[in-house]
Amino acid sequence: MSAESKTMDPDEKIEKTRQKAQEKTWVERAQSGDQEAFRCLVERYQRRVYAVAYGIVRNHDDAWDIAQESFVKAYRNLGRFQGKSGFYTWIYRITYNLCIDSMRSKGRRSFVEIDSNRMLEAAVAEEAPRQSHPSRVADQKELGEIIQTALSQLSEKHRAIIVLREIEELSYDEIAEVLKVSKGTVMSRLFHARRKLQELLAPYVEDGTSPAASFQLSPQRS
Amino acid sequence: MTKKDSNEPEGVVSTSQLASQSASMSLILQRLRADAREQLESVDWSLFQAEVEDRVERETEDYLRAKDPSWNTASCFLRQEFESQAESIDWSLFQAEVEDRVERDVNATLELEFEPDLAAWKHSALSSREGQWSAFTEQVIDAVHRDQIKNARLPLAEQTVEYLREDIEVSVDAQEARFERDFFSELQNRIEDNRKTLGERILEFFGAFLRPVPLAWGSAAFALAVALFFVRAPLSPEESLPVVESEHRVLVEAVQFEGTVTLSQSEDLTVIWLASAS
Repeated sequence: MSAESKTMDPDEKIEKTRQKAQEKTWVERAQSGDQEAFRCLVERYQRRVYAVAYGIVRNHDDAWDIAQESFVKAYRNLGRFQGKSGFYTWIYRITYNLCIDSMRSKGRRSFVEIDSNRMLEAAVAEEAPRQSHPSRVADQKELGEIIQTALSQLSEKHRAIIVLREIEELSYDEIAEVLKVSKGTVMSRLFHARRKLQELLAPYVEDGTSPAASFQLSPQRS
Repeated sequence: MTKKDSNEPEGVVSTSQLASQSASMSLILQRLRADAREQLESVDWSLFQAEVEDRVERETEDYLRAKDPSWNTASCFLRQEFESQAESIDWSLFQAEVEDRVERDVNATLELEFEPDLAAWKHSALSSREGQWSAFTEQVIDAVHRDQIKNARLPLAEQTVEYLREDIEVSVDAQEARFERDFFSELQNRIEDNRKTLGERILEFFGAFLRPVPLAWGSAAFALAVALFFVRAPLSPEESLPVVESEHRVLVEAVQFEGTVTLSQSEDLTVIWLASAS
């Protein structure tokens, strides 16, 4: 992970270089049929691939399935991987494409849009009468639902770019590599994704008593 | 000039002359004393003192050096050590800390002195205005409220990203045991499944059925199965397609079928869709 704004200390740089070299070796060995090397690559990236998939599709089972399928595709196409970019940008690209395919094939997006629109309206409507009273601040769960809904209302592309930038902390160049778009497109898409998110949350904040300041959100751990 | 006493011999100074001389001398002495004091006061004694100390130090060093040559090295080392330490200290921080402490002390003193008065004033002001807000106060409150809303917007969007981050972490953590135990083995199975050719997959599926029946019946059933396999309704996008690996070439010369035949080709896969007319 490398955000452009971050500056690495020398130890971190050395570690990153070491990891890159190790990854290159694993890829070369895996390309020549070494199962163990492929296993190392899988173990290094399985969680991150799953995280990207889950961030986009927002469903545990689908994310697991997509993560598995991403590695199957990677294994089958290892011969085509030339190593010009990092293995992780390559596997992220496969994952991203599979997520888009999965969402489209299941028609989830249209369902989510309708469904989440209703949920958001309902949540805001339920909240509206209470907002006039400062002492009644919406509890975590309610705001959590609104945020969940706002997230699911974003398009897959917008969600993907937020996940890659904000969660995986990839640089603009790396995101451009993953999405196969220009750096300018990445920046503009990220801008629109953030603006969309603010728009989705605006009705709640504008009329409300700014509960955000007092909230500490945390998803429920099972 | 005083007149000379006629009884006094020539060359002897009279008492009155001495008195007058003493008076004029006293004035001169006074001036001299004042000048001397002024001169003494104008001298910078700190410089003098520093010079004396410096000389004492130098002479002590010379004496010690003469007595023990190792002293020279030791004193040099100590001086360098001291200088380097003094250079390494961030005096601005030290100064800031001192200023901070002074300010704190002053504040503490002021608070102690004025706090009771301020609290009493605040209390009386609030109680006298209970429920009576002027138009001005309302405007101020509105402005503060609008500002709060403006500020709250950005944190909410940021919180959403934070929420997403945590949600993903929770999800990854929840699958941790599966990652450790199942991920790679499941992956291997999937790769294995993908590796099998179409023929292998069909044989595997019907293998158990074909073994106990006579060859002729078996062949007929196999042919029927292959036909059914191709005539079935199009695969839904969720189902995986049978994969024909490149080393097994399949040549289809002709397809006869009543219905719609669709040939779909991608880079490494060719699919023939047969959909019946009914």
